[in-house]
Amino acid sequence: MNTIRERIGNEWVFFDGGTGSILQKMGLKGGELPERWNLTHPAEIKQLYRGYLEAGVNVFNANTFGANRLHYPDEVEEIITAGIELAKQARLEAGREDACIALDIGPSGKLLEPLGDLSFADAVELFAEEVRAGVKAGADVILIETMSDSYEAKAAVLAAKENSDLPVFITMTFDAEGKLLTGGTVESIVPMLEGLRVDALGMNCSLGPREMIPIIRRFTQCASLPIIVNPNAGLPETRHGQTIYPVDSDEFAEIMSEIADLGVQGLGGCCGTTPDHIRKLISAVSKKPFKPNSRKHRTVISSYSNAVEFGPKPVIIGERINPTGKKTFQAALRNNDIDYIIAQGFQQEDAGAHVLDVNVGLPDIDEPTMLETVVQKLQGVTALPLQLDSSNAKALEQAMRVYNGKPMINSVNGKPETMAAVFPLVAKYGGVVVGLCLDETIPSTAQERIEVAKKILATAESYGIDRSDIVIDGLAMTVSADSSSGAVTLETIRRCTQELQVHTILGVSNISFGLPQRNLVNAHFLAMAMQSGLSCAIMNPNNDQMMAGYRAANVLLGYDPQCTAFVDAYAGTAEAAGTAANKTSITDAAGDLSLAHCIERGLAGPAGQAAQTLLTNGKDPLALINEEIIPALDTVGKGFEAKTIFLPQLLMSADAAKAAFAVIKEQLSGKEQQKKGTMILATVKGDIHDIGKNIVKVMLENYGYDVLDLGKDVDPQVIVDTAVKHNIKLVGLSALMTTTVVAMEETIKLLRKTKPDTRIVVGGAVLTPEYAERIGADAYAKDAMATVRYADQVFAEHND
Amino acid sequence: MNISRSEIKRYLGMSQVKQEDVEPLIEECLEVITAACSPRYLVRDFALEWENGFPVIDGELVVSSHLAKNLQGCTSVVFFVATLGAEVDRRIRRAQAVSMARAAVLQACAAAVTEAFCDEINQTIRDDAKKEGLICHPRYSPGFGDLTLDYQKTVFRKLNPERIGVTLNDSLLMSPSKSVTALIGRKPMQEGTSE
Repeated sequence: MNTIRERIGNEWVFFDGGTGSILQKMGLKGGELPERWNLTHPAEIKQLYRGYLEAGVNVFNANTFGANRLHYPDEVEEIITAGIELAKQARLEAGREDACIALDIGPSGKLLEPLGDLSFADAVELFAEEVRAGVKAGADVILIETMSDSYEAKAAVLAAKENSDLPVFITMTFDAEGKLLTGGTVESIVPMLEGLRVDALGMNCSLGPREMIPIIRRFTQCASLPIIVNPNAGLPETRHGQTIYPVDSDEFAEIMSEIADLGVQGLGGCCGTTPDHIRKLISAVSKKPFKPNSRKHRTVISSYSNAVEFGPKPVIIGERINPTGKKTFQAALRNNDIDYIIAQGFQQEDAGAHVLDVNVGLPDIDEPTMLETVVQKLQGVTALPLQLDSSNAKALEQAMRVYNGKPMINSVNGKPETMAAVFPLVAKYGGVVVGLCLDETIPSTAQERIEVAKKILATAESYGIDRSDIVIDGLAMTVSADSSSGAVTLETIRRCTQELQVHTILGVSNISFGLPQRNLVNAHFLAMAMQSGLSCAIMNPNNDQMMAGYRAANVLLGYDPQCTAFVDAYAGTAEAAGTAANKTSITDAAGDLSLAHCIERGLAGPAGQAAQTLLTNGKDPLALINEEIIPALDTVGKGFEAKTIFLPQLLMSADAAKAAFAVIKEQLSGKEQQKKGTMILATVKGDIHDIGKNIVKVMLENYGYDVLDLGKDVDPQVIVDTAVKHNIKLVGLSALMTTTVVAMEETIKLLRKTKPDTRIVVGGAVLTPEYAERIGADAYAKDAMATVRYADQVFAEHND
Repeated sequence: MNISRSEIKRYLGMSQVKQEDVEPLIEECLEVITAACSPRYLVRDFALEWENGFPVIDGELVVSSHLAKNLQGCTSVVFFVATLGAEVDRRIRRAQAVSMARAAVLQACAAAVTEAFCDEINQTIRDDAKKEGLICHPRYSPGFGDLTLDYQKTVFRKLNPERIGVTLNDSLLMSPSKSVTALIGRKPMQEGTSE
């Protein structure tokens, strides 16, 4: 007898059908937790299992779908053990010792951060507890199912892989358009799951077999692993308050038989299907010729929702999230100014990047923690896949672990130690790896570089990493130092593409170091590399000339059908305008306005430009702040208080002032600005709404305060510890709901006890002056301006 | 969906006077939210009985005099949960890194779209009720009056909104943030009664 891991790719494997609908018929009440029946109704649970065993399934689920600590705080092991013990008994009684017991793992019931409040690490641990219990009790396979969020799916797979050697199957739940509830698609989730080395994947629940067909076709297009399909018995209908699944067993078997012909390997059912459905499905399909799935050898990286496939049109990887040679970026890293880093990502996305390179390495910062933080922040706000760029294996591992998708990894080279450090991570977490064509030395000929590339591909293979997951960097070296280096690089790219049939990458702009008009050289080099077969370019997408080279080369190489992208980018632009591409936004149409005027009118782009012009003309930065920005902000602030202008205008002005400050900061770079004081802002424990707090933050910063923003859902102890550590004079707390004002009160009590000299100002939707006083706050601020005024008062007293 | 511009302005604390600098931003943000949202909802109806003047919904007593008043005379109650989906939250979060003005306006637009979506669901429920000879009371949500947010737990137990991607945290807040739960009482139509 082959193991289930071997069988799933080599013969039909049949799964069981619905559980909930059957237990309800046996008397399970709506709202009652079905897994508890493992303890209270063992006979019924065995009967459920027997039904499917007698129908002939190869894999049947233990009744453990929702058996996690959120539903059963202290009984996870007990309930899972009982569920699997009953499965063993049923299997013995049915004379079906060949059938496999699946530890059935469903979603936690919570959304993961940042959408919800369950941290990724806690999600992994929640599932790990189930896995450990299942392994101990003797499950044969782990079936993770009904997952509608890629991040939660990743947490469950990691938990399964890290706590067992059992085969791991996973089926996701899509809507009729083939989307996950959190936005993923078949094309984005498959690369991630295959990268995580599951044993089979597919879909279940939500749809009936007929509705699943278009989605199954997408699976067979992009997946290489065995595909499992477990549909509902049609789309549920409500009749007289009862949920009815309309597809009967004959119709179900008929459609499933069609589905079998589409190239799937595992079949079963979900809600509304019964042993009868499954019996007929098995008899309709088991005699059909079996066809294993084929390897697709596609090179794909993904985010929570987007897949980026390599070739033939080159992928642009934005290189700007990198501190090398950038003082402001370095300062942002040291000051933990993540928003600045995120903004670099947005700019590149708007400019046309397909992927963002993320490099946050500086000698004096904790790179693993910083890379993990930046990756989590970025993936919460952009759908572009990320390229994790570090020479620190620990940083890579932490970032790969929390990455929501299949990342690109930058990089390994021909040195055995770099491959030994990175390839095991790729084999565990999945990823497409950049392999640099160098080892102890940088080879000066294409032939030598090809030899290094071969070595990298062979070593990857020994880790079970397919060559489709390797992208070879042909090394763009400074052409001004060696005039043959451009040609060698192009030759390397051409031979990698043609002879090794592997994808290629270049950090394009390296070629032009030391030359004038670098963009001119870069843009031409990019076009030539594209003709040689380049698959992706690491470059600055904000650079119009390089983007122009890229777009033109796409047209000439036939990668831009009907020249659509080119026409979209340049139609209507003047022939002579070399550095055009001015993005028009509603806030940019200003003309020649003074800085103060720009701020008052809330024009962010022009405010930045005006500040730049003033500085270039020799205006002193501090005078600029005191004579232009502060008075303008004051005018706006007073208008807001007098209700002649409103929140959006106040914030537009704040954005404009921020843009001006950013320019000034660049100029001062490093030199400290005079600050009025430092205060803490936090949204209290349990509260996940932070937009109000962030509005207050931007206003305070514009008014000259340093804000230690502790974020949302902040533990009281963290607030108190930070206040003590930095000897903070003023803490601002925000809470939205009555349920979270409790946490606010708790935070205030703890602050009073530990640091009684700190003042506390509170705000939020449900608060009133009276309520604020009752919970012990010093002040209530009805809006952001009121907070600024209170801060001014507190720090004026303090500084007197 | 019919999105009320004046509602958006109200959420932003603005007067209803035309504000030339803000109107285009509102329109732009409304487009973003409309494109980002994937509205989903669940509906389920339950039997309603009465005990000592308090409603007993699906066999469970709910001690809330405000809800009792809202459901007065009703014989059944419809629960619904509605959400705009996770992408809307992402857009708002994303805007916060760049422009708080934009973030605030997106937030207000999303709130107005949620409201419009709930109105639409409410209308469907009313239409369905009418076919069965029932009329509906105004919708009522946990957190209103003396029906504490704690009742969210019951709503979640009965509807399993996780199916449409809505979850509840320990502080009884929902994710995605643009989600609503509500109850709508129904009673038999009688001559001369109106909603």
